[in-house]
Amino acid sequence: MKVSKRIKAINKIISKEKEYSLQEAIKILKENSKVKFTESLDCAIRLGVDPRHADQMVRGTVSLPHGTGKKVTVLVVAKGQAAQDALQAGAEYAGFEEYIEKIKNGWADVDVIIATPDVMGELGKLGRVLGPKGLMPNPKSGTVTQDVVKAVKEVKAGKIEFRVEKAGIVHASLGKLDFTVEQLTENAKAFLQTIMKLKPSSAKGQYVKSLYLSSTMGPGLKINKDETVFATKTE
Amino acid sequence: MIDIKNLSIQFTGENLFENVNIKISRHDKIALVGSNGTGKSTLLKLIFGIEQPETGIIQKQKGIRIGYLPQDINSFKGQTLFDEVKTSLQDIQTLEEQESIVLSALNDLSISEEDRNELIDELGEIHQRKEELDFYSTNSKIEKILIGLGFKEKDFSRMTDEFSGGWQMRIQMAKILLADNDLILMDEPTNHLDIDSLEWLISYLQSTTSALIIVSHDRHFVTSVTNKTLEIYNKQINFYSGNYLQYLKFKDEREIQLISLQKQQEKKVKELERFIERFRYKATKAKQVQSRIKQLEKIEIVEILEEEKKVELHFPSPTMSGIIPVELIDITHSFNDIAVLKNINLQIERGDKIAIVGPNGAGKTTLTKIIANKLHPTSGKIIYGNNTIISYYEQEVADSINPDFDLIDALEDVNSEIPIGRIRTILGSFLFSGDDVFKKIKVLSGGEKSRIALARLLLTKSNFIILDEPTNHLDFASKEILQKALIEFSGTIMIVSHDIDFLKPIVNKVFELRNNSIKIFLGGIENYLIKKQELDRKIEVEEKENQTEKSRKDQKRIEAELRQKRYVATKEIKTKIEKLENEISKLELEKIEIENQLADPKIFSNPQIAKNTNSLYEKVKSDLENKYEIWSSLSNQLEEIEKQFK
Repeated sequence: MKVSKRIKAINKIISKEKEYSLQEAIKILKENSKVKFTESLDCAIRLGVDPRHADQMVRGTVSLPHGTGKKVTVLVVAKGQAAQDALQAGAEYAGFEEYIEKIKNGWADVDVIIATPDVMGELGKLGRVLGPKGLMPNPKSGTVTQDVVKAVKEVKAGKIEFRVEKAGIVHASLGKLDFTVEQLTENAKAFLQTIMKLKPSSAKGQYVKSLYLSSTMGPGLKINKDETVFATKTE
Repeated sequence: MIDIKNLSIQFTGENLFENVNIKISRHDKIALVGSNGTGKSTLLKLIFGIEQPETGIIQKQKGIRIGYLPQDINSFKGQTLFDEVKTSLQDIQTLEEQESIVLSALNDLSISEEDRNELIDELGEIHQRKEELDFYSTNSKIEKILIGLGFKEKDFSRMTDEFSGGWQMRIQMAKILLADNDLILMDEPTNHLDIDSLEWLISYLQSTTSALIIVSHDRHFVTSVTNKTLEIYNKQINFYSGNYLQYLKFKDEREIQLISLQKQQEKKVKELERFIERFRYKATKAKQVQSRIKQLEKIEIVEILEEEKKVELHFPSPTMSGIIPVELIDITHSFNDIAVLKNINLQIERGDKIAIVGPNGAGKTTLTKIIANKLHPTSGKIIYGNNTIISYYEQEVADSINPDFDLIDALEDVNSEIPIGRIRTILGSFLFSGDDVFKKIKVLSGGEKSRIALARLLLTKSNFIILDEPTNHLDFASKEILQKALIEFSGTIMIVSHDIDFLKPIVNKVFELRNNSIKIFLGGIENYLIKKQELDRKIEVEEKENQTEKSRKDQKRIEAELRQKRYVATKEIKTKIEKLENEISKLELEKIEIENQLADPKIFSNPQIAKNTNSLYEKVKSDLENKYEIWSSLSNQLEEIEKQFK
């Protein structure tokens, strides 16, 4: 594969073997972002769990203190007043029958769907459309709730959902590279803390096996996990 | 993952294995080898749990999922292929059921707030499980496996009842591959697979993370899929790391070692015996002699297992049949309105050795069954020649024999006139000796059943033998023997088989079944393969020629269209230019005329006229200049446009 000049330049600066600290890595990624848009900071953690066993599943939500920097489009499926409240709270779309019909026809052009419990009977049938896109509201991730206003605000403020995929790796986007180093570090720590809290009791051996940070088009940097995990634990 | 301790099991009074201890761990890919009837299938059944051990225990890890592909498969009935395969994903099916229950409960408006919240939590749990189980990619996974195993897309909605024996096995295999098992047990999986599906299965099994235990006589398959070998040998089960080829090498070495060990031992025994003989009656040596006798008693004699015994098979020389033993006239046969054979006309000559080939489901078994009079065709006529005696060996061997018969019954069933002594001789030559002959058919292994079916074939004194996949359950050695016997046989033979090596020395005619009709190739199987390749190539070339023909026409059409477009685009400018050129030539003529006038002394001597002419000349000149300019810009434009169409 042809390696671009940009990547060649980056490869000279970084080392594949070295384990960086969080701040160091973020700094390098920020300084070497030479593309024409604002890159995101992505994180990948390999966990020592087998997600095929239901009791070793790691999934949840975390509110990033400084948000993700992305614009999140929200649909609230609710009836009457709740829909009005949701629109006022900042949801792009809110309503009931109209949207159920639209989703039935394949529309799902939003990032998050929030629903009140009384519409779940209808909405639950639409798994064929929403399921593959991961948009099905779920009380576990707080997207099925009476308090839609709070839910909308949380999502807009940078609440993200994550779950470990087949091979035992969790991915998350932790913000944009135009955030300050401190902001990004805090976001990363918030995410790590949540992951640490969710350690399943049945998981054997080392829990966090490895930890990488990368930018959208930049290199992946190995993070010194012991130091970082220790730091997040003691905080 | 699985721990087998002190396992013993016996059949008809004889131990299959004694005190066996093995451990199977995750990701082990194991070939299970051993001669026919040593208990390979039994071991698989024990691990799967269909059979229970007499002594010892089989410990399985909690929650382990095992998939088992047996040799003989019950037919699937009453569902479409797709739904049948989907039933293997039990988790997903129960989830779907749960979901519909919860959803209908949610839509009941009379339930209390509390119940509703509980139901929604449950629904959330179900949705989460669905995501974890990759629910939404299930259908594409099923499609991938079915296509890989050779099913067509139009088969997906067909009922499972419609599929033949080989396809039933593939349905079972698809279910096992799909179910995400921790351990997959396969007993002779390659029996009914054609080459494409076999290659697909190999690559699938190579990439799977499940542990495997495979029993197969297909050397290529076993070597490419497995990396460990379990050998059943001398009632013991031994583990070797290394694939089948490495195991074979090891086995040869062990044989050599054992032989030399045996020689040494014999020598030692002889020495001891001589010592004892010599000094037995000598009082001073009595003690030494006693100790030597003890030594002799203690020696464990090295046993070398006899070479795998081979089947001795000779078909009795048959009475001659007529010149045309069988003739088919306009045979058509369909299953549930799907035509398998259409208007088949065929004459089989005495002494023909015919191979029937063709893709799975092309009607090979149907044709042989019709000829053997086991199946009545939908329409058409079969004429049997004088003195034609047909015997038939079929794919599902077990189907045709009563499972409660013992072996002697099984043979007497075919021909009751034959004395029991002769029956025992035949059974003996098929490696069933001593008390073996009282075994019930139902306890026989797949390979043993095949041998019994072949023995039955021997007793019929037929002059026309039809064999449907005879090599399926036979090991390498037995295959060779059968081949030899068939070469010697002087009657007529018809064989359905995918095994090219087996057919090669026997066959002198090949019938290819494809698209409901039959094609006859004279000459052996190699000749057929060459001709087929030629045909394929011819078709390819023709297709290519068609394509070039087509492309030439296309090219012409495109050029014409281009010309048309260019014409339309340049038409206006061209007429303008033409008009302008006419004007210019007129003006040029005018200019020359005026110049001539100006040169005329009559005119330039008269100042008034000279002045007028001069101003006219100037005007013509400037007009001309203008027109030149317009012309040049127009012709530039034309050039530009024409460039676009090049």
